[in-house]
Amino acid sequence: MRIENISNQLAPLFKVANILFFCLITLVSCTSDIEFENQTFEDLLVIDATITNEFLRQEVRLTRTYAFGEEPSFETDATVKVLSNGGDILFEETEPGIYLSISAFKAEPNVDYQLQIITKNNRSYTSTNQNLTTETQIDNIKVDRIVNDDNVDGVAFLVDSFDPTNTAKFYKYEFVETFKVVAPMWVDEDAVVVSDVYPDCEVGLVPRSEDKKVCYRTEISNQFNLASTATLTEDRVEGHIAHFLSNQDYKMSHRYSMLLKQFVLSNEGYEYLENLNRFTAEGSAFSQVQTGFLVGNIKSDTNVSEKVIGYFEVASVDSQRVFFNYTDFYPPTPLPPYIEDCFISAPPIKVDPQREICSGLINIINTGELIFYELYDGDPVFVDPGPYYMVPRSCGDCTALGTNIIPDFWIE
Amino acid sequence: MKKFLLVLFVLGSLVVKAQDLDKRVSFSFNETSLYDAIINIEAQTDYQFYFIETWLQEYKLTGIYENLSFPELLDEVFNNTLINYYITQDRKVILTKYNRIYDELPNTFFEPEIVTNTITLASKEESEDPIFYNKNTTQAVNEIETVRIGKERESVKQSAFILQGILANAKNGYPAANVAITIEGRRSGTVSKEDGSFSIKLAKGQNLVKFQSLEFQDISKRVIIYNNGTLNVDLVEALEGLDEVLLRGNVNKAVKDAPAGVTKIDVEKSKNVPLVLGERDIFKVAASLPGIATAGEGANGFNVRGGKTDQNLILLDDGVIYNPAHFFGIFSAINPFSTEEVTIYKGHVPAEYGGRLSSVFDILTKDASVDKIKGEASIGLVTSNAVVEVPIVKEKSGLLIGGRTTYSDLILRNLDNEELKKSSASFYDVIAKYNHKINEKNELKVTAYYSKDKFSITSDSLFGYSNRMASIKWKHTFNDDNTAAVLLTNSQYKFDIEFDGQTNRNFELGYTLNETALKLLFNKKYNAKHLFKYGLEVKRYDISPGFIRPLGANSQVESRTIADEQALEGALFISDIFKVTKDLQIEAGLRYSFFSAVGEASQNIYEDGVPKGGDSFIETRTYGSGEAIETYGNPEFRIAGRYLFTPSFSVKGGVNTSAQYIHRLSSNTTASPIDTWKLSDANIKPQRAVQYSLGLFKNLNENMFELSLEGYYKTSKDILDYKVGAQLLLNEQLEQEVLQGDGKAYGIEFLLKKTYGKFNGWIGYTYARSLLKLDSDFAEERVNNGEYFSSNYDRPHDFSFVGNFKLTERFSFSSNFVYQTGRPVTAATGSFIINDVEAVTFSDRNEFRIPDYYRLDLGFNVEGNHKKNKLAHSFWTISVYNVLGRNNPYSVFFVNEGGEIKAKQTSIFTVPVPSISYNLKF
Repeated sequence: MRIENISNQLAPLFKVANILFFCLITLVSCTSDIEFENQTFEDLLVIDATITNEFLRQEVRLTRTYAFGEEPSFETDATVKVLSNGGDILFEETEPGIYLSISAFKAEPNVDYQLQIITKNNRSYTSTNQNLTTETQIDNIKVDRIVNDDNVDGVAFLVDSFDPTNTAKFYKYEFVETFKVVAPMWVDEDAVVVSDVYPDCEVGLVPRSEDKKVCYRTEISNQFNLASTATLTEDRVEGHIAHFLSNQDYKMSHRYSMLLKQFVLSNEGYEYLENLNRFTAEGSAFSQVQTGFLVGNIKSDTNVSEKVIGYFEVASVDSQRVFFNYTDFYPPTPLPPYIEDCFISAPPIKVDPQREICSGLINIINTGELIFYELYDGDPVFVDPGPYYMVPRSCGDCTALGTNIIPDFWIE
Repeated sequence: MKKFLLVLFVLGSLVVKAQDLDKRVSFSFNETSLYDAIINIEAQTDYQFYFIETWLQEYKLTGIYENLSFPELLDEVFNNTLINYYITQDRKVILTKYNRIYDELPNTFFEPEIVTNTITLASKEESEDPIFYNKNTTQAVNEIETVRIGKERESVKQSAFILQGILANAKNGYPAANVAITIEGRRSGTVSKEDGSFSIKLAKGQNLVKFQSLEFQDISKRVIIYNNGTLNVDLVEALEGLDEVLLRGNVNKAVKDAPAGVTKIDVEKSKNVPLVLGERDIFKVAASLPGIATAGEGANGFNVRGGKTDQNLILLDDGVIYNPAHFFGIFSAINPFSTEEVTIYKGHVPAEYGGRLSSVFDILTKDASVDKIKGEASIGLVTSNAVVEVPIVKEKSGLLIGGRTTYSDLILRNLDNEELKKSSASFYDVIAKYNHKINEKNELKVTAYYSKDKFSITSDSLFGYSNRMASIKWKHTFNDDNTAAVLLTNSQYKFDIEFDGQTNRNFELGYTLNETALKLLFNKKYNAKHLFKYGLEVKRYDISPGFIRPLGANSQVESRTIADEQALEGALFISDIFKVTKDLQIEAGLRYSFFSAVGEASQNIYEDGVPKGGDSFIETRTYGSGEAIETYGNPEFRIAGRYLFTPSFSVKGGVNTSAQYIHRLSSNTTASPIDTWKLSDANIKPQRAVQYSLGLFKNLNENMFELSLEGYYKTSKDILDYKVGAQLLLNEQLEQEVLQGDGKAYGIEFLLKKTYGKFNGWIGYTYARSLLKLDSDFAEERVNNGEYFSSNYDRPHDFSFVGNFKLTERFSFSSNFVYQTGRPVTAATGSFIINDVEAVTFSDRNEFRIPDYYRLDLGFNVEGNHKKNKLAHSFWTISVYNVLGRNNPYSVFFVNEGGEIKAKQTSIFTVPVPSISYNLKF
């Protein structure tokens, strides 16, 4: 068995700070963003496949790599199955690129699982055999206010977990966060277009039909969070920061909930993700890690030198939900800044005699870009004002950010 | 008033431009003292005179000198006096009484150097000897000793006899060559040979034999000879006449030295080169010469002729220094004040050195002064440095102590920024050298060195690394032709990391490398044509490849230690510097190196022919103490030749093979201080290389310009590289991560040097490539499809310019310009999403390059006045690094920031960095 690299633990330590030392001398910032365009683009198959011991329709996602600034494209019409000593498990494509097992199942210990994919252009890909990793529970998630290494005040989610068999060792954390959003400039009236037929360009106010003041927004974690206990005497995760929220983050303004998932990974699968992570982490200014293509456990049967991205993992998973209120850690005011800069404007209704159309405020209301806030009160600061003060939609209508239906799991 | 006599002796042509000399002048004098006349001439021409006033006061001058050239005027003026004159190129007229200044050396002047000066030690000794001097005639008048040879017998009817003998330097017993032996009143004479021997025919009876040379005081012996006989004479060096000498040694060295690819850096001369933060740095000067490069401003180590940074043998007084850099290579850890000179072998490596593929940096510390206390100190913006030399036993032994430290910590602590207050960065290095001349035959030199770096970047981590070295060298002279040296050295490299954070995983981690070497070196001058050097070297390595242990009571980190590694490395070597003809010289060397990884250790055994990994693992074999695990042997050929077409033009070529048994492990693109060194074993083969080189060397304008063009082609085998994402620290199955492949490097190096004059410096240009190939039958062991690709330090175009312009004796400007092709990088070719996280895919290894690098540095140096008897000489350096403010990218990388991939670059010095330092010498 290989051992987790200590230097990975150290990588963040090297980090920006030694750059800082030189910035001090040179009095400039030494790391800067640059425009980068792909000079060559390689179109590769990406296999995102983790099956777990949760009883559900397991999911395999097939996408392709994409150039910077673009969106991933999906690998459709492939045949996906997982071979096991208990028989083959077939998958079907439910959405483009998303393949779900036809029936729900959970991965069992001591069973060999092998992923097999045949794409529509008849290329075949097979993974090595994988076994379910040790099942380990999250013992505790502590939500606590801390000041992190970058000197940021915020709230951390600290995980404890313990595997007495000392075999789990490699952990990955994913979370789904759901938080309450209160539109700061919500009012009970909406501006509507009464007439937009030239030359009758008219707007009016109506009472709001639904509650758009309080909503719930859900986001999925988008960074790897890995932990290993391989260098420890006991397989004990203690106070591991699974996530950190700055106190300047609007997400924590009211009530916040996190469903934290702990995956136990295989050693190689862990290393695969850790390297992917390492290749996109801010390393030391002086010694940059040698990047390159990472070989996973899935290979092309058709062409051995074809590069395939992805690691087929059979992971045990456990999850736990936590809640907290902003006021648990901070005084009620001031709140963190809202996600949107809620500037107030008073756009005029424009009657365009040349093109014979209504524009200005009429268009704005139609597109829903801005939303009614107050009647214009004659403030001379506004040049050519319209009848209403308007604000960006998310400032007065929280459904711009989430749903106003209370999630089932939500506890106040 | 010019009260002091300056005898400037300048080798080479010092002919004032013809039009200046031809310029017509007119003067008239009437009973003018010669002194006033000269002052008058000086005032009306642009010539300056140097003389002693009293010489001129005894003469009066009357006459009208019309429409004469300057030399003609002087001829007239000094006619009928004992004064000789000499006109230098920079319009100085040096007057001498009785003797004359020669503007060329005797033909034999450099002859003795040819044989030996490929070896730095030897040439250094020679340069200690005065090469030229101002002969003071009064000293030649010694009482004449009378020597009687044979007995006058009537039976002997011969009218002439042979007198033979050996002439030696009275001070050190070295042979006195090229001494003219003449007999008064006769035309015959001879010259002593290189070994000091002479033989001359004398007439029966009394002869006055004169021994004359430039190097020694004249001596005469009255020889009354009645038979063949022997007379050995000890000559006294003519040191006393030396007032001030401008030496320009080794003038023709570049052309005449046999091996190509040897670079010598004179530390004192390089002090004007402007450098970052005003730090004098011999390595940075080296890197401005063709063939020696760094991967970037913040990169540790050097890439010599396309080799890796671990392929340089860096010797400080014969002891290996593993990481002679402070703060990620920004500063050198070798104290420039204590350093005498650095010789870099990048092509031909003499057979006595081995164990690295690319080069040898042979750094020699100054011998401490044995007659008076001397010192040098500097205060800069970031560091301070001081070196003192103290005589211990007068004329016999001395001690040099040097130290350097930084006060960056102090700067950091006094900052307002909370972030930076937490950081710390400090380093120091100390050196001590004791040299003792026990007697004529025995000499002892002891050096101790230690350097330490410590830095902390966040409040919870502390990094440290150190170099330690001690060496003892005992040199014994058996006789003029045989010398031997015994060298005992010990080196240690160490790093440790302390992590003290908030969780249960605080730890301390460390690595230690220790090597002890014994070397015996014999020099045997077989005859005038052959100089043999031979000997043996034995080295023992002890490496503790790593330990980790918990730090603090709460830490749950498991203590773990990777088993120690031991090995023996040895070599037998012999080389012959063979002067085939006057023009052809060959240096042929053979080194047989052997290496044995020995127990007590365990070794993982794998199946052959398949990738090393879990599947091919057979067993772990254990070996007892001293038991050989794996043994390697390599014959290494070191052959170099030189052919002189003309005295100033030569062609040199050579073949050099080498083997390396210790390797630096790094999965980063550039070296870092926490890279470990690994010994070869059953799974990791030694690296080997062959280099072919050819060069043309031409000196122009009486050695004022040195021009060279060198080409090389180098192939190497079993160069270490690593699988992508390899984990090297504390890995017990390291061999599973290692790839070994082929290297190929070639290049052309052009260098034009102006060695002296008001303006001096060099222009270097190199076109070179450095390629690697990692091929295998198995995809996971292949990089870039098994084809050759650019190494991380492949920078084809490399141009550098170093120039010093001496405004006056006290003020000088210096500049340094560098242009290099941007270094290769592996760039992102696309993105993908896995586990809801955006990640990137990468191009083939080193498919792209970062933008080209260029930088201009300027310096201005002010020396204190040159009063001869001043207590201390001071020297200010004001410099600006990166005057153009070029933002040279050092690396390009891709970061997942808040779930979004961003391309970023880092640069080390992006704006002009001014600095000032004050140097003091006494």
